[in-house]
Amino acid sequence: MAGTATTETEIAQQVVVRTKDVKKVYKMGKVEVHALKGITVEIEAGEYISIMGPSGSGKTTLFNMVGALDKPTSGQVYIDEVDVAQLDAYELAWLRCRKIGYIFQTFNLIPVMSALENVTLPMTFAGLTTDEARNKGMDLLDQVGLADRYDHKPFELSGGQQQRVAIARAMANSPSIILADEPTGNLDLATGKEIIQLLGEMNRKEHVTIITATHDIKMLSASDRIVWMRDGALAKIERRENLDIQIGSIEGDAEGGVEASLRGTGEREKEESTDESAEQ
Amino acid sequence: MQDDTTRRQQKIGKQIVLPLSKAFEIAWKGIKIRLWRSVITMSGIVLAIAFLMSVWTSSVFDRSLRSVEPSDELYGLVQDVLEAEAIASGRQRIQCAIVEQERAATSVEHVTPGMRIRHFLDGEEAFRSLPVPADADAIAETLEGENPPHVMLLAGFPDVVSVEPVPRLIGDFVRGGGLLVAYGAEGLQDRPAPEQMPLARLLPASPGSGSFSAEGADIEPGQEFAQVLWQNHPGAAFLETSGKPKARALASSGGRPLGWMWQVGDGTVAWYAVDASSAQDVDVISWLLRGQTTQAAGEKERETTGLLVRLIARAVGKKVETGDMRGTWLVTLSLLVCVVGISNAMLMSVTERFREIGTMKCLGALDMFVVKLFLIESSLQGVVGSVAGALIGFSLSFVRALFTFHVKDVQTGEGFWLSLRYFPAATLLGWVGVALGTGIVLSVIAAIYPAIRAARMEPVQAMRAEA
Repeated sequence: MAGTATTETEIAQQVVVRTKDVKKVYKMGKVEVHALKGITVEIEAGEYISIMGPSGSGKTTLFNMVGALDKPTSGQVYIDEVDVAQLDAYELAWLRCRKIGYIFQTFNLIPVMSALENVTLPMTFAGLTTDEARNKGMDLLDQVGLADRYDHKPFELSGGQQQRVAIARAMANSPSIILADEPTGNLDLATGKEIIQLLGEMNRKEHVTIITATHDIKMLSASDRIVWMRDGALAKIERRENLDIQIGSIEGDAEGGVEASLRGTGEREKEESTDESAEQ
Repeated sequence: MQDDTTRRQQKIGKQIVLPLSKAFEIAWKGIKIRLWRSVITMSGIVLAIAFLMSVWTSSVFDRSLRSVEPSDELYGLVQDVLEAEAIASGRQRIQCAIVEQERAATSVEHVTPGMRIRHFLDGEEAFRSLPVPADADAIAETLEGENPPHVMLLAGFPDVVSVEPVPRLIGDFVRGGGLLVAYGAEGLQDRPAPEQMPLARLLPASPGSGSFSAEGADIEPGQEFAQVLWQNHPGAAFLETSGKPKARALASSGGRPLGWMWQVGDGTVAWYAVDASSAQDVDVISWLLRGQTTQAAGEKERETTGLLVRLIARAVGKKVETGDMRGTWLVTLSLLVCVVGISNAMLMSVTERFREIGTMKCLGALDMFVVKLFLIESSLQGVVGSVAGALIGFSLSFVRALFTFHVKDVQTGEGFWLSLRYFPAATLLGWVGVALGTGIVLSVIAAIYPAIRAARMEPVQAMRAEA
């Protein structure tokens, strides 16, 4: 419904993350490794986007740039049209706290805190009172189906459960973006699917933009767009609809397909074409 | 969709600074749950501070109780007298008879005056020690035997010297040119007044005591010595010793004899009851020997006494110097161990949590918050660890001191725990304070660097630094 009513200016507003010729060079002794060779990409609000590519293709590096976790050697990253490089430490912390939720391959729950405490930690950082945080935290745990295990420590939870807590934690301050780095990398097939489903649910219900770096094919059917990377550069950007033809039968994930067709896609095609021209 | 739009339009704000109480809350939770890890980290601090405290406690006890025990200076002095005798006599081998009251050794470390001098004599080429039981017959046998000793040592002032015929025999020995050295101040405070002292009976026909004044003195040629004693011990009562062969001086302070010296024939009877903690008493002995020099007629004697003074100066000077050097070295070393141990423990506990720090930063923690978290944690560990360490270190050294400084009265056999009797509470309390301060400051300082480094890292770097 939003898609049909949007004007050109609103489209511009909907771009939540924009990178401009982002390069990253690591110095390994005397050798310079060009992890990113100038990436320009735009990510829309409410999009579910996967960055795919083999190991060493730079997808994690790009992912970290987009999530304001690392600084590019050159180029800019804009989150809500604000150049991340221009932010001071307080603004950066604010951004990480409220704008972005992070999910990691290794879950990275604080080991000494219970599930609920892990979920409420970002709220504490955001200045919520203990009671507010507790209520909201329980709501979130309920959403990920772990309300009854709120008092368990991470080591008392299975991998899938830990990742659910991590998702609840990422959602703590109602971010506009969730960054998930290989969220299914340490999980078995079924659990991985559950997590992908849960992320998709968040995406639909909360309209949160989801950006994942992954090489899990299961991710593809849930994604609106897939950014393929190779050797630190964009190889191609594909919409899921195109991809469904190729692997839809393998995945057999009908739900994602239905969901995607419900969305307005007119703007996306335009987006994609600009992306691809920028790449060349 | 509506609140989605408003959320996006939100301008970037500044992260709020959380109150210290929040950091404290989180740090405390961490310590409680990570109890074992915290205990291991703390054990580094505990060990370091325990080591430091034990060294300090030991040195406090050693320093404050050494003056109660027969001192090293006293033994040094006796050794110097013997060395001088050896040089003066020109003999190849000097036989030294040692008479010492049988006494129970109360601990392994407890060394009696006789044992100490024997140890010295046996280590020297010029001497031969000859232990004699504290028994009148044995002494008579030794002194009247075929091969009488040149030197007679009365270690720790045995009771037997007052039993006839020992006084007579010793008197003859001295008049015959033997050197009599009586020493050992232990327990002398509790001894009877000088008149009743057994050694006084060595002198023929002791006429009793009276007051002594510098004017009416018939004590020349030992006047100088008396004057020095008088100056250094204003409260001392001088006892008249007229009628004795060339008796020089006799003095006591608060019932405690300070020093006597007689010239008997060619021999010298010297008895030093030296309060070794007092530099003045050491002066008295030097004076005494210098006085001898001025009285001395022959070249040889002058040489001997001059040498003696030098030896005393050397012995006393050396003792003080080496004692301090060793103490300083030990304390420096233990401080170093302390610094390294604590730094290492804190460094470990921070670096192994880099990932956690990175995660916290992702969740919106400010750098300062992370640093605060670790400083609170390390200072809590520092406080607990230092208190425990100081207690352990003190206890260990105290137990050691308790047994080291346990002595038995020669006459009554009653034991004294000197460390309890002369417990240096104020000094020790001061050192406890220093140890606590050291532990806490060190653990905080050691945590600052890795905490700041971790906090400043980009979250990605911190999370990549795998512990």
